[in-house]
Amino acid sequence: MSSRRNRVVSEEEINELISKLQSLLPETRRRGAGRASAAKLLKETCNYIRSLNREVDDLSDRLSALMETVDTNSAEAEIIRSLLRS
Amino acid sequence: MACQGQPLSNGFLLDSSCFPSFLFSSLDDASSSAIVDENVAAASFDGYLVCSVITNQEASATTENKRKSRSDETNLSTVSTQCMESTKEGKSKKQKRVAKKTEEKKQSSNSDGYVRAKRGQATDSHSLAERVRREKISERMKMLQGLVPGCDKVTGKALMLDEIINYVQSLQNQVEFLSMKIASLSPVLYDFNADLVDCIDQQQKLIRGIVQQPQPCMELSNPLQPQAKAYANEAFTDYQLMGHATGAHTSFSQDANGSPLQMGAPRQGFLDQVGFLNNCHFQ
Repeated sequence: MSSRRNRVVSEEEINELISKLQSLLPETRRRGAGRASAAKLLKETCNYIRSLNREVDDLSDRLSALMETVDTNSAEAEIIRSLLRS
Repeated sequence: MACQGQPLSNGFLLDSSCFPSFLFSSLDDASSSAIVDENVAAASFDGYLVCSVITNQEASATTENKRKSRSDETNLSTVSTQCMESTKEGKSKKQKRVAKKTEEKKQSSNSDGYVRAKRGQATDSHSLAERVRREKISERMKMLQGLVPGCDKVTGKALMLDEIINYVQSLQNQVEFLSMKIASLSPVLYDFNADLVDCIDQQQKLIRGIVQQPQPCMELSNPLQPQAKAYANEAFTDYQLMGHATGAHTSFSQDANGSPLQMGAPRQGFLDQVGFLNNCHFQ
């Protein structure tokens, strides 16, 4: 963390972090979009994290379902398993 | 914060000059503080009752308040009217503001009767608006603190933001990793003669398409599901290695026809794309 020597975090650093967060969010990645308010960004982040969690759950379900349907003795399945193990 | 009271949901603030100073001084009157406590506690921020308290205060007219009350008697009726109006409206912001100021005043407890905000904070409208904005932000930060694991040990906005950013990035990586795995397991559906850029685009579309497909076997309880998730959690950080491994596999099988990794050409070509895509996405 880029804090000053006496561990005081400047307003600027916080703004930097907020911009970084904004760049991660899918909604606000439009080019030339000005800085949205911090409160709105934080709310967007909440929603985004929730949707990402849902997506991860969803994808894990699909993946495990697919793993079951794949022929477990085939060479491909073995590759996939080894990849997952590593 | 000593005064939690009713959080302002809309951030609308009334200037403190809306309420004549006698309002606060009356409530601070030591002799009738008991009455105030009783009524304010019972009123639960009902503006009408607060105003009736004021009315009682004015009726008793103690010596400490005489200098204020005489000059502000005309204001009393205005305030009462205002209180009545806001009661008719139902729950209004004015009531909340009065109640909030009431609580603040009780807790700062001074005796000179001037409008005094909470300890260490100004009362002009800009600072109040700023304070509300800060409260809104800290409320959202607390919400995020609940969502992001490991964030409750961290204090301070900057460190928490850092933590949040890392978490979002890791979630995004997980999603990408999982969708790649799914794509690599699914049967191949498209032509491999297109050039690389088109293949990458198609890959993305395929992944999105797979993700959005309704899954018929979702209702079955899946013993592998926690395992798959665990894989995702542990293994996605090793994605770089896997990308290389995939590439190594395909190049090997491409050269040697008699290799044990004999797959159909489409499947192998597909893994080629996957290998490229791995290397493109994760530097």
